[in-house]
Amino acid sequence: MIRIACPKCNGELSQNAFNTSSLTECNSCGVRLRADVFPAINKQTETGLPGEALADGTEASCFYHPQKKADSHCELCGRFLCALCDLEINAQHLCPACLEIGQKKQKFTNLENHRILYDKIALILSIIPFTLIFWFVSIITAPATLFVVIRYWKSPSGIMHSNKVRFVLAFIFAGIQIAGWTMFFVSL
Amino acid sequence: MSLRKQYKRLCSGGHLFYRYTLWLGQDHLLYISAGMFVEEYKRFYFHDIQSLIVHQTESWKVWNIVLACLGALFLIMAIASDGPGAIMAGIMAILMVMITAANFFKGPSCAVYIQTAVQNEKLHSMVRLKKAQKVLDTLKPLIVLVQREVAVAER
Repeated sequence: MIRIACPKCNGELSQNAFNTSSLTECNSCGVRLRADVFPAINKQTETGLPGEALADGTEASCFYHPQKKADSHCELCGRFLCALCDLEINAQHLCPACLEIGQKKQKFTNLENHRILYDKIALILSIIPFTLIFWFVSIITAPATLFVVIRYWKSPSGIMHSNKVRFVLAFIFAGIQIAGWTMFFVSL
Repeated sequence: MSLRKQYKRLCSGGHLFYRYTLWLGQDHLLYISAGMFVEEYKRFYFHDIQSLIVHQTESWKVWNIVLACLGALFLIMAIASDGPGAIMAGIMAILMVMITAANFFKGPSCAVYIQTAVQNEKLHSMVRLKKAQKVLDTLKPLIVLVQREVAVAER
Protein backbone atom coordinates (compact mmCIF):
# COMPACT_ATOMS: atom_id res chain seq x y z
CA MET A 1 0.00 0.00 0.00
CA ILE A 2 1.57 3.27 -1.13
CA ARG A 3 1.23 6.12 1.33
CA ILE A 4 2.15 9.62 0.19
CA ALA A 5 1.37 12.55 2.46
CA CYS A 6 0.23 15.96 1.27
CA PRO A 7 3.17 18.30 1.95
CA LYS A 8 0.81 21.00 3.20
CA CYS A 9 -1.62 19.20 5.55
CA ASN A 10 0.21 15.87 5.92
CA GLY A 11 -3.03 14.05 5.09
CA GLU A 12 -2.86 10.92 2.98
CA LEU A 13 -3.14 11.56 -0.75
CA SER A 14 -5.62 9.58 -2.79
CA GLN A 15 -4.02 7.21 -5.30
CA ASN A 16 -6.13 8.88 -7.98
CA ALA A 17 -3.94 11.96 -7.53
CA PHE A 18 -0.77 10.07 -8.50
CA ASN A 19 0.89 10.52 -11.89
CA THR A 20 -1.86 12.64 -13.43
CA SER A 21 0.70 15.07 -14.97
CA SER A 22 -1.67 17.90 -14.07
CA LEU A 23 -2.82 19.59 -10.89
CA THR A 24 -5.40 17.82 -8.73
CA GLU A 25 -6.82 18.72 -5.33
CA CYS A 26 -5.79 17.22 -2.02
CA ASN A 27 -8.78 15.45 -0.42
CA SER A 28 -7.97 16.84 3.01
CA CYS A 29 -6.95 20.48 2.53
CA GLY A 30 -7.95 21.16 -1.08
CA VAL A 31 -4.54 22.49 -2.09
CA ARG A 32 -3.78 22.06 -5.80
CA LEU A 33 -0.91 19.65 -6.31
CA ARG A 34 0.79 17.26 -8.67
CA ALA A 35 2.27 14.03 -7.33
CA ASP A 36 4.62 12.03 -9.54
CA VAL A 37 5.18 8.69 -7.82
CA PHE A 38 7.85 6.29 -9.06
CA PRO A 39 8.33 2.50 -8.75
CA ALA A 40 11.10 3.02 -6.13
CA ILE A 41 8.32 3.66 -3.60
CA ASN A 42 7.61 -0.09 -3.54
CA LYS A 43 11.26 -1.05 -3.18
CA GLN A 44 12.50 -2.39 0.15
CA THR A 45 15.35 -0.40 1.68
CA GLU A 46 18.60 -2.28 1.21
CA THR A 47 20.50 -3.09 4.34
CA GLY A 48 24.24 -3.75 4.65
CA LEU A 49 25.36 -7.37 4.71
CA PRO A 50 26.81 -8.65 7.96
CA GLY A 51 30.26 -10.20 7.67
CA GLU A 52 30.39 -14.00 7.45
CA ALA A 53 32.08 -15.69 10.43
CA LEU A 54 35.33 -17.60 9.83
CA ALA A 55 34.74 -21.33 9.41
CA ASP A 56 38.30 -22.35 10.34
CA GLY A 57 41.71 -20.76 10.97
CA THR A 58 42.97 -21.19 7.40
CA GLU A 59 40.61 -18.62 5.79
CA ALA A 60 41.66 -15.02 5.25
CA SER A 61 40.00 -12.63 7.68
CA CYS A 62 38.87 -9.03 7.53
CA PHE A 63 41.49 -6.45 8.58
CA TYR A 64 38.94 -4.62 10.73
CA HIS A 65 37.03 -7.68 12.00
CA PRO A 66 39.52 -10.56 12.51
CA GLN A 67 36.71 -12.99 13.35
CA LYS A 68 34.94 -12.34 10.00
CA LYS A 69 35.76 -13.93 6.65
CA ALA A 70 37.42 -11.72 3.99
CA ASP A 71 35.10 -11.13 1.09
CA SER A 72 37.15 -8.72 -1.03
CA HIS A 73 40.09 -6.33 -0.72
CA CYS A 74 40.43 -2.54 -0.73
CA GLU A 75 41.57 -1.39 -4.16
CA LEU A 76 43.63 1.43 -2.66
CA CYS A 77 45.41 -0.05 0.35
CA GLY A 78 44.96 -3.78 -0.34
CA ARG A 79 43.52 -4.66 3.08
CA PHE A 80 41.19 -7.67 3.23
CA LEU A 81 37.59 -6.73 3.92
CA CYS A 82 34.48 -8.55 5.09
CA ALA A 83 31.09 -7.85 3.49
CA LEU A 84 30.33 -5.18 6.11
CA CYS A 85 33.56 -3.21 5.51
CA ASP A 86 33.49 -3.50 1.71
CA LEU A 87 32.29 -0.12 0.44
CA GLU A 88 31.60 0.21 -3.27
CA ILE A 89 32.12 3.74 -4.59
CA ASN A 90 32.42 4.56 -8.29
CA ALA A 91 32.72 0.84 -9.08
CA GLN A 92 35.74 0.62 -6.72
CA HIS A 93 35.88 -1.51 -3.58
CA LEU A 94 37.27 0.53 -0.70
CA CYS A 95 37.81 0.16 3.01
CA PRO A 96 36.27 2.72 5.42
CA ALA A 97 39.68 4.32 6.15
CA CYS A 98 40.52 4.91 2.46
CA LEU A 99 37.01 6.24 1.86
CA GLU A 100 37.43 8.72 4.70
CA ILE A 101 40.84 9.85 3.43
CA GLY A 102 39.49 10.12 -0.13
CA GLN A 103 36.54 12.21 1.05
CA LYS A 104 38.82 14.55 3.00
CA LYS A 105 41.13 14.97 0.00
CA GLN A 106 38.09 15.46 -2.28
CA LYS A 107 39.03 12.49 -4.46
CA PHE A 108 35.42 11.41 -4.83
CA THR A 109 33.46 14.31 -6.27
CA ASN A 110 30.16 12.52 -5.90
CA LEU A 111 30.67 12.29 -2.13
CA GLU A 112 31.50 15.95 -1.71
CA ASN A 113 28.72 17.68 0.21
CA HIS A 114 30.09 21.17 0.77
CA ARG A 115 32.79 23.60 -0.27
CA ILE A 116 34.06 26.77 1.34
CA LEU A 117 34.23 29.50 -1.28
CA TYR A 118 37.55 31.13 -0.47
CA ASP A 119 37.45 33.17 -3.68
CA LYS A 120 34.17 34.75 -2.57
CA ILE A 121 35.60 35.45 0.89
CA ALA A 122 38.63 37.15 -0.69
CA LEU A 123 36.48 39.21 -3.04
CA ILE A 124 34.11 40.39 -0.30
CA LEU A 125 37.06 41.25 1.94
CA SER A 126 38.53 43.34 -0.86
CA ILE A 127 35.22 45.07 -1.67
CA ILE A 128 34.16 46.03 1.89
CA PRO A 129 36.49 49.09 2.04
CA PHE A 130 35.02 50.46 -1.21
CA THR A 131 31.78 51.09 0.62
CA LEU A 132 32.71 54.60 1.76
CA ILE A 133 31.74 54.10 5.42
CA PHE A 134 34.30 51.36 5.94
CA TRP A 135 37.24 52.65 3.81
CA PHE A 136 39.58 52.78 6.84
CA VAL A 137 39.26 49.00 7.46
CA SER A 138 41.23 48.39 4.26
CA ILE A 139 44.41 48.62 6.35
CA ILE A 140 43.37 45.24 7.78
CA THR A 141 41.24 43.76 4.99
CA ALA A 142 43.73 44.36 2.16
CA PRO A 143 46.54 42.25 3.71
CA ALA A 144 43.89 39.72 4.81
CA THR A 145 42.65 39.51 1.21
CA LEU A 146 46.18 38.92 -0.08
CA PHE A 147 46.64 36.20 2.55
CA VAL A 148 43.41 34.43 1.53
CA VAL A 149 44.26 34.72 -2.19
CA ILE A 150 47.77 33.29 -1.76
CA ARG A 151 46.90 30.67 0.89
CA TYR A 152 43.84 29.31 -0.90
CA TRP A 153 44.75 29.92 -4.56
CA LYS A 154 44.67 26.18 -5.25
CA SER A 155 41.40 25.58 -3.38
CA PRO A 156 38.52 24.75 -5.70
CA SER A 157 35.83 27.31 -6.19
CA GLY A 158 32.14 26.42 -6.47
CA ILE A 159 31.45 23.00 -7.96
CA MET A 160 30.15 24.58 -11.19
CA HIS A 161 32.76 27.36 -11.43
CA SER A 162 36.38 26.55 -12.08
CA ASN A 163 37.87 29.94 -12.97
CA LYS A 164 39.94 32.21 -10.74
CA VAL A 165 38.25 35.49 -11.71
CA ARG A 166 37.17 36.29 -8.14
CA PHE A 167 40.69 35.62 -6.79
CA VAL A 168 42.24 37.82 -9.51
CA LEU A 169 39.78 40.67 -8.86
CA ALA A 170 40.32 40.41 -5.10
CA PHE A 171 44.10 40.52 -5.65
CA ILE A 172 43.81 43.65 -7.86
CA PHE A 173 41.51 45.47 -5.39
CA ALA A 174 43.73 44.57 -2.42
CA GLY A 175 46.80 45.66 -4.38
CA ILE A 176 45.22 49.06 -5.10
CA GLN A 177 44.36 49.51 -1.42
CA ILE A 178 47.86 48.56 -0.24
CA ALA A 179 49.38 50.92 -2.82
CA GLY A 180 47.08 53.68 -1.52
CA TRP A 181 48.12 53.10 2.10
CA THR A 182 51.80 52.97 1.10
CA MET A 183 51.48 56.33 -0.68
CA PHE A 184 49.67 57.76 2.36
CA PHE A 185 52.40 56.68 4.79
CA VAL A 186 55.17 57.86 2.45
CA SER A 187 53.54 61.30 2.15
CA LEU A 188 53.54 61.59 5.98
CA MET B 1 37.71 20.85 -11.72
CA SER B 2 34.44 22.18 -13.03
CA LEU B 3 31.61 19.72 -13.51
CA ARG B 4 29.57 22.14 -15.59
CA LYS B 5 29.91 20.09 -18.77
CA GLN B 6 28.49 17.02 -17.05
CA TYR B 7 25.38 18.82 -15.85
CA LYS B 8 22.48 20.75 -17.31
CA ARG B 9 20.91 23.51 -15.25
CA LEU B 10 17.22 22.90 -14.68
CA CYS B 11 16.17 25.82 -12.50
CA SER B 12 17.32 28.27 -9.89
CA GLY B 13 15.79 30.34 -7.14
CA GLY B 14 16.57 31.96 -3.83
CA HIS B 15 17.01 35.32 -2.23
CA LEU B 16 19.68 37.89 -1.44
CA PHE B 17 21.98 35.68 0.64
CA TYR B 18 21.10 32.19 -0.54
CA ARG B 19 20.90 30.78 -4.04
CA TYR B 20 19.48 27.37 -4.88
CA THR B 21 20.07 25.59 -8.17
CA LEU B 22 19.03 22.21 -9.49
CA TRP B 23 21.25 20.46 -12.02
CA LEU B 24 20.52 17.42 -14.13
CA GLY B 25 23.32 14.88 -14.18
CA GLN B 26 23.63 11.58 -16.01
CA ASP B 27 22.05 9.48 -13.27
CA HIS B 28 21.17 11.98 -10.57
CA LEU B 29 19.99 15.46 -9.66
CA LEU B 30 22.46 17.79 -8.02
CA TYR B 31 20.90 20.34 -5.67
CA ILE B 32 23.21 23.21 -4.76
CA SER B 33 22.51 25.61 -1.89
CA ALA B 34 24.97 28.48 -2.19
CA GLY B 35 25.32 30.81 0.75
CA MET B 36 27.67 33.77 1.07
CA PHE B 37 30.80 31.66 1.62
CA VAL B 38 29.74 28.02 1.50
CA GLU B 39 28.13 25.78 -1.09
CA GLU B 40 26.25 22.68 0.01
CA TYR B 41 25.49 19.78 -2.30
CA LYS B 42 22.82 17.12 -2.26
CA ARG B 43 22.56 14.37 -4.84
CA PHE B 44 19.34 12.57 -5.58
CA TYR B 45 19.96 9.46 -7.66
CA PHE B 46 17.20 8.61 -10.12
CA HIS B 47 16.92 5.05 -8.82
CA ASP B 48 16.27 6.36 -5.28
CA ILE B 49 13.61 8.94 -6.03
CA GLN B 50 10.22 7.77 -4.78
CA SER B 51 8.13 10.81 -5.54
CA LEU B 52 8.17 14.41 -6.68
CA ILE B 53 5.34 16.52 -5.34
CA VAL B 54 4.55 20.08 -6.32
CA HIS B 55 1.81 22.09 -4.67
CA GLN B 56 0.54 25.54 -5.39
CA THR B 57 1.16 28.19 -2.72
CA GLU B 58 -0.55 31.47 -1.94
CA SER B 59 2.56 33.65 -1.76
CA TRP B 60 2.10 34.76 -5.39
CA LYS B 61 -1.34 36.25 -4.57
CA VAL B 62 -0.11 37.75 -1.29
CA TRP B 63 2.84 39.47 -2.99
CA ASN B 64 0.60 40.74 -5.78
CA ILE B 65 -1.74 42.34 -3.22
CA VAL B 66 1.09 43.77 -1.08
CA LEU B 67 2.95 45.23 -4.08
CA ALA B 68 -0.23 46.62 -5.65
CA CYS B 69 -1.17 48.28 -2.33
CA LEU B 70 2.31 49.80 -2.04
CA GLY B 71 2.07 51.04 -5.64
CA ALA B 72 -1.33 52.61 -4.93
CA LEU B 73 0.03 54.22 -1.75
CA PHE B 74 2.97 55.80 -3.59
CA LEU B 75 0.62 56.94 -6.37
CA ILE B 76 -1.62 58.71 -3.84
CA MET B 77 1.48 60.28 -2.25
CA ALA B 78 2.68 61.44 -5.69
CA ILE B 79 -0.69 63.07 -6.44
CA ALA B 80 -1.11 64.56 -2.97
CA SER B 81 2.37 66.12 -2.65
CA ASP B 82 4.38 68.39 -4.89
CA GLY B 83 8.03 69.13 -5.65
CA PRO B 84 10.82 66.53 -5.33
CA GLY B 85 8.69 64.41 -2.95
CA ALA B 86 6.07 63.94 -5.66
CA ILE B 87 8.74 62.89 -8.18
CA MET B 88 10.24 60.37 -5.73
CA ALA B 89 6.80 58.94 -4.89
CA GLY B 90 5.99 58.77 -8.61
CA ILE B 91 9.21 56.84 -9.33
CA MET B 92 8.45 54.44 -6.46
CA ALA B 93 4.87 53.94 -7.75
CA ILE B 94 6.17 53.08 -11.25
CA LEU B 95 8.72 50.69 -9.69
CA MET B 96 6.02 48.95 -7.65
CA VAL B 97 3.79 48.61 -10.72
CA MET B 98 6.67 47.07 -12.68
CA ILE B 99 7.51 44.58 -9.90
CA THR B 100 3.81 43.68 -9.51
CA ALA B 101 3.50 43.11 -13.27
CA ALA B 102 6.66 40.95 -13.28
CA ASN B 103 5.36 38.88 -10.37
CA PHE B 104 1.92 38.58 -11.99
CA PHE B 105 3.25 37.39 -15.35
CA LYS B 106 5.66 34.89 -13.78
CA GLY B 107 2.56 33.03 -12.63
CA PRO B 108 1.50 31.19 -9.47
CA SER B 109 4.10 30.15 -6.91
CA CYS B 110 4.67 26.62 -5.66
CA ALA B 111 6.64 24.40 -3.33
CA VAL B 112 8.34 21.24 -4.59
CA TYR B 113 9.30 18.21 -2.51
CA ILE B 114 11.46 15.27 -3.46
CA GLN B 115 11.09 12.05 -1.52
CA THR B 116 13.52 9.15 -1.23
CA ALA B 117 13.55 6.23 1.21
CA VAL B 118 15.47 8.28 3.76
CA GLN B 119 14.49 11.91 3.22
CA ASN B 120 11.82 14.33 2.12
CA GLU B 121 13.51 17.48 0.91
CA LYS B 122 12.00 20.77 -0.17
CA LEU B 123 13.56 22.05 -3.39
CA HIS B 124 13.81 25.81 -3.00
CA SER B 125 15.08 26.18 -6.55
CA MET B 126 11.59 25.74 -7.98
CA VAL B 127 9.28 28.55 -6.93
CA ARG B 128 7.03 29.02 -9.96
CA LEU B 129 4.40 26.46 -10.85
CA LYS B 130 4.89 26.80 -14.60
CA LYS B 131 8.64 26.14 -14.35
CA ALA B 132 8.18 23.33 -11.81
CA GLN B 133 5.72 21.52 -14.10
CA LYS B 134 8.18 21.84 -16.96
CA VAL B 135 11.03 20.44 -14.85
CA LEU B 136 8.85 17.57 -13.63
CA ASP B 137 7.88 16.77 -17.22
CA THR B 138 11.60 16.58 -18.07
CA LEU B 139 12.51 14.44 -15.07
CA LYS B 140 9.63 11.99 -15.05
CA PRO B 141 10.63 9.91 -18.12
CA LEU B 142 14.30 9.86 -17.05
CA ILE B 143 13.48 8.58 -13.56
CA VAL B 144 11.00 6.01 -14.86
CA LEU B 145 13.55 4.74 -17.40
CA VAL B 146 16.32 4.32 -14.81
CA GLN B 147 14.02 2.63 -12.29
CA ARG B 148 12.72 0.26 -14.96
CA GLU B 149 16.30 -0.68 -15.92
CA VAL B 150 17.19 -1.27 -12.27
CA ALA B 151 14.09 -3.44 -11.79
CA VAL B 152 14.96 -5.51 -14.88
CA ALA B 153 18.58 -5.92 -13.74
CA GLU B 154 17.48 -7.09 -10.28
CA ARG B 155 15.16 -9.77 -11.67
